[in-house]
Amino acid sequence: MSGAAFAFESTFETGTLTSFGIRPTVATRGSSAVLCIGEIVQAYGSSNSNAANRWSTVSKELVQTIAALNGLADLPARWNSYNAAPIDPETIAAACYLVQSAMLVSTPPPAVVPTVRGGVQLEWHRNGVDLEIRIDSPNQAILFVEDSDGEHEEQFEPALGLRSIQEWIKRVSKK
Amino acid sequence: MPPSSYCQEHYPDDPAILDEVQLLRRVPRRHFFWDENLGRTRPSSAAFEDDTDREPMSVYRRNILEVESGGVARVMMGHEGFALAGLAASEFRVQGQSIHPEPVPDEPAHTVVCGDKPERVRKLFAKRALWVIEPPEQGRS
Repeated sequence: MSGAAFAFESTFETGTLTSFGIRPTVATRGSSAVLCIGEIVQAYGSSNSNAANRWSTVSKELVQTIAALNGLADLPARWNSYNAAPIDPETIAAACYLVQSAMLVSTPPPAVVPTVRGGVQLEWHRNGVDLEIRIDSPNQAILFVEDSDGEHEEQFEPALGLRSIQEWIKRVSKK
Repeated sequence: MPPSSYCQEHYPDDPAILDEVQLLRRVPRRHFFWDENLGRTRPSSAAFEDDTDREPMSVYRRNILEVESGGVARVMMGHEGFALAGLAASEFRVQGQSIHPEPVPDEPAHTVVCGDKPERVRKLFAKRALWVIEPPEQGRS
């Protein structure tokens, strides 16, 4: 979870985890899927650390997104009433990393969608753009965009990010 | 675009299932959302995915449900919070899918839709699907 291009600004809407409806107890879970949440909780509890500085202001939308991602870890097998697999915690963590590094202040929360094979899909459908980021595993993701100019698809590794994501995220963010 | 050789061998298309037959798919709460571009709630493309490369997507034939099984609500029993989406068989076939009946105990309407489903195709299904049973009320995000 280090080295990300965190683009946080002081104009973020801020609040405590509790005010966002997130109970800090989730941080006590052992899986890597909750590292995002755990990191925030720890940061709020240690105001002088570098981590606290990094997390001292986070957007409500980002926290909502992270909470939604965290919730995927609890899905049992067959959660879709067919044969869906549980969601891989490492993949959730990769998605978490991605939203931290890519979402802007003005970015609404995406639809956080579990996939049948244990992955995560992030979707924004606004401003005439359909943006889907499908994270199949910690090492494999696909960006899929459709707008008035046509379709665009690009594979990438979540940990390395993708330069064009920022541009597309900007397109679906509030003007 | 014909179905893949795997589908043709293991799940061949049944022409007795007419193009206009509506095929129904349960959609869990986490698979529908408000689409601001369309101005309506719709399923995610993720709702139209095969379980694995060798396990094609399950659906139910509406005509069988209505004649033999007591209506579409039958497949929603025990699935609170789910919605039910429908697409005509022709909409799947035109995207290279085979429609293969696969009745299971207590569910004669069970059918599978076999074929490659890249993102473009899944999204097309998601946007064209009609709600047979609407999603429960939810906030717009």
